[in-house]
Amino acid sequence: MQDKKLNSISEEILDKIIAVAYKDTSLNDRISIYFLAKRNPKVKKLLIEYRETAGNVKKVPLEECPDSVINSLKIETRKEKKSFFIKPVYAFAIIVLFVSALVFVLTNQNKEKETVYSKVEVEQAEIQVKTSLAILNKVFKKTENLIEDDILPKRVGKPIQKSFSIINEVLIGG
Amino acid sequence: MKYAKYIFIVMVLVSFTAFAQKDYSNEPGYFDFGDLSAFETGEGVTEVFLESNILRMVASATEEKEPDLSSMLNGLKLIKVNVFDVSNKNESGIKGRINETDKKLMSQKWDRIVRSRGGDETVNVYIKTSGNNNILGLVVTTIDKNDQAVFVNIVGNIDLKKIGKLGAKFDIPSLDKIDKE
Amino acid sequence: MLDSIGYKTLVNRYKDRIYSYSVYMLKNSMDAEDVTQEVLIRLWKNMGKFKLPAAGSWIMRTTHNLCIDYLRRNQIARQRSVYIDEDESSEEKIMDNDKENQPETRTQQNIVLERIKSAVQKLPENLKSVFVLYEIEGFKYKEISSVLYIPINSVKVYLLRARKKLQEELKDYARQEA
Repeated sequence: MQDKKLNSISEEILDKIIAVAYKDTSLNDRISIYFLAKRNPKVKKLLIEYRETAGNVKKVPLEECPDSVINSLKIETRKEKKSFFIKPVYAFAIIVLFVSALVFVLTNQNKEKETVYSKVEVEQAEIQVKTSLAILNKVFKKTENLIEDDILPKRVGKPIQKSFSIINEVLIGG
Repeated sequence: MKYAKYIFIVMVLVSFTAFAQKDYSNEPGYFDFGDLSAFETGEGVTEVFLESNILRMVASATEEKEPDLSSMLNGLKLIKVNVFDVSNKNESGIKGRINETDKKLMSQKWDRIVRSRGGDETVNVYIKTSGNNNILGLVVTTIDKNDQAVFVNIVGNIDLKKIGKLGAKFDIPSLDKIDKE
Repeated sequence: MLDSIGYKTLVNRYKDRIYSYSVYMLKNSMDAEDVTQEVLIRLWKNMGKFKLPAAGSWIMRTTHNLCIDYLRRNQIARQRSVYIDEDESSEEKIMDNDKENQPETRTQQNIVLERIKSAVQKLPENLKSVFVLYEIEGFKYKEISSVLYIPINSVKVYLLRARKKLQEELKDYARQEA
């Protein structure tokens, strides 16, 4: 009877053996299985087998992720980053700057259009315009005189006269 | 994000341009003689700087009395005139500036229509024309070592004949002695 | 920036776990790489949508779901049971590659480990997922329950069954060797 009891191991005991082997159970269960293993060779055998497997399972390392995956990931996330157009805080700052520049330009333009000159200012400006035109006229007159009195006779007329005299000498003989 | 940075920079630049002064450098008929204040050594100095808005006001004010002047002024954007008495102190400086101006204008494809040098006088007249031969700018530089030096730049739609005609009309014998405005 | 640092930390912590789980489930390193990449991309897209302590469960759940999708897709493509057997033997080779076949690295310990990996691969899907998550990846009952959407008691039951099945498989290996 006792042998039968020792030989047949219930599912419940087996589950406990496995839990003990994988160190995945309470202290009570560990102690009970420990003493059971001492009395029952099959329990002991099972416990040793499962312990060995559990020990080896614990040693199985993680598979290393290839670097190529991470490198290609960098390209993908950079592509994703490009799709991010603008952060809200920058967008707000840009809009504020643009609107203030626009308002300034518009108000300045309005100011320019609204400039009102006094009658005195306009009269003074009229005098200045006429003075400027008179100055120009003086310059043009000077230029005209310079050409007529100086440049034409001395610098143009003189060489022409000299040319004629040379022709006279050569062709006509004096 | 990269794009956000570029947009941010562009917006900053745009806001700076909003604060910028009005300048005529984009006008093809405009020329900057540089700082001429160093030549203000004599007693007689004339300086005229009239922009488009005041020119339009004058045009409007003279429309009835002087329609020729009015119509001419309506087409102008700027009249700039500087006149200095020439003396030993500023003569060489002014001559140097006139020569520099000549080089710059020629390099900027202005047409020099008059260049005369006679004795103590030098006169240079330049025009800037558009594709269809409209005159967009006029520059005059002249020095008489016994008299005055003149720097003139007129910007806008210019009719030389009209300017000459009107100038003769407004010629005042006592023009030689004009106080600084 | 914080998202970026958090993401890097999670990638470093979980990349091997994701890849390992995928290899065991899919029995194929190429598919495992695809799944790993997909999981990490989804992680990037979803950074900030979960708290970091819950990240592990989210990551492994996503990995498990993608593996199931791959398996279903492959199952549809398969037509003959013989093809399955052939595939299994070639899949085993993928797992054993570079370790068992190289004499200089061949030790008793390595052989045993490779046997165990092979035996784990043969476990039924539901038992294998629990076994890998618990024994190889080190997740707890509660985490596995969250990843696989099964009650904790089911996790314990599946784990026990997986251990029994594994032992039977290893006994078969021993008998074959004998």
